[in-house]
Amino acid sequence: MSMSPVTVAVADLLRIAPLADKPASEGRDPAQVCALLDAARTGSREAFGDLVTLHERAVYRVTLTALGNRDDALDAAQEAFVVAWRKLAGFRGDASFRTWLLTIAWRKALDHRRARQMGWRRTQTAVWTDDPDPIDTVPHGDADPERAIVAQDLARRVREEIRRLSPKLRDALLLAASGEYSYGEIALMLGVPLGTVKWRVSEARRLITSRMDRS
Amino acid sequence: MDRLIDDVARGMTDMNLPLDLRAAVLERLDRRPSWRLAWLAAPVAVAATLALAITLRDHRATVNPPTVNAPVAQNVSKPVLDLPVVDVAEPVRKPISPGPSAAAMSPIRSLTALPGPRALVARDIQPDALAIPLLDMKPIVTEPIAIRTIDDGSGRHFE
Repeated sequence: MSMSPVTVAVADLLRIAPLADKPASEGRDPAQVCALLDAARTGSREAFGDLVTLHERAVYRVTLTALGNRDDALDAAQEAFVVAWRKLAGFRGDASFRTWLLTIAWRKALDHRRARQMGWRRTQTAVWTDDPDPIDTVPHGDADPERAIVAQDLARRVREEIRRLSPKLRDALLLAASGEYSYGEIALMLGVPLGTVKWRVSEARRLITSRMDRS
Repeated sequence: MDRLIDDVARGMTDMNLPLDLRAAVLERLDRRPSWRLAWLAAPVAVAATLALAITLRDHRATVNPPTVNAPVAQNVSKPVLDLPVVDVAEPVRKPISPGPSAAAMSPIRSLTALPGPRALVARDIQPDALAIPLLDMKPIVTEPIAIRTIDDGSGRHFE
């Protein structure tokens, strides 16, 4: 399927790779993870540290998706790893270690989100609204400035529409679009059936598209 | 459009880790969890609060014993509070001619000189208004029941 020039321009501006067909974790050696897991269960912090290194990006992305704030996401990710360390003896291996870890991370992130909503934690502005938009950093010497401006405006509107989505739809869309997780992993994390995840992603896209058409 | 949405959505969570998460996590493993202290402290705090509340309640009950008729108690309390000003100071400056006795000097004794309580009690309660009119009931009279002797032919009689 060919991409439209605007989409290509947006992708270029965002400097992101095309969506991966498989989660990034699938290329890892399961035997390596098992060995580290066994060592960590015996109390090896070094082995657990290696597990952290292997999964830190996926865990951080989960918490960032739920919280939208870099500091809160880091805090939740660290707490998730600490909880995983404490519960390591109880991990029976029904699911993969990664899925188990991501589920813990998602729950931790939701705890943070609830606490923030209840006012128990210091409210911080979401990184999606606080950080400079990557598209705003378009170099002035672009080959096609008009196209860049159109792409810039379009991407900003899409971001705005994603922010306006309900948390359930936004969570599903952001997790699915990250390319880091399979739909099955997302379903386990969110605690909903696979079909629900697919519907939420589809509904999120439909809503954004219809709102963009109207505006 | 879907592709564009996915790309933008991915960009929203595509952040590099701003710190060495591994080191931060390993450092946290050694920390004493604060929630454990909270769980230990919470019951202690609740017990202390309860004990304080019970002590205060008992103390209040001792100072102000509960009365049956609250409005009367309020009316009585006012003259009692004024006692030291009126009655205690006066005997000290002007001794009574037959000679002041310890009973006459006592603030408790001087309570009897106060005009208030009895009249207030009578006016506030108004027992006549609460009186229930007597019911005029005639005595219930039942006529005696006459039962004849039953003869079933067997020679025995039933009454």
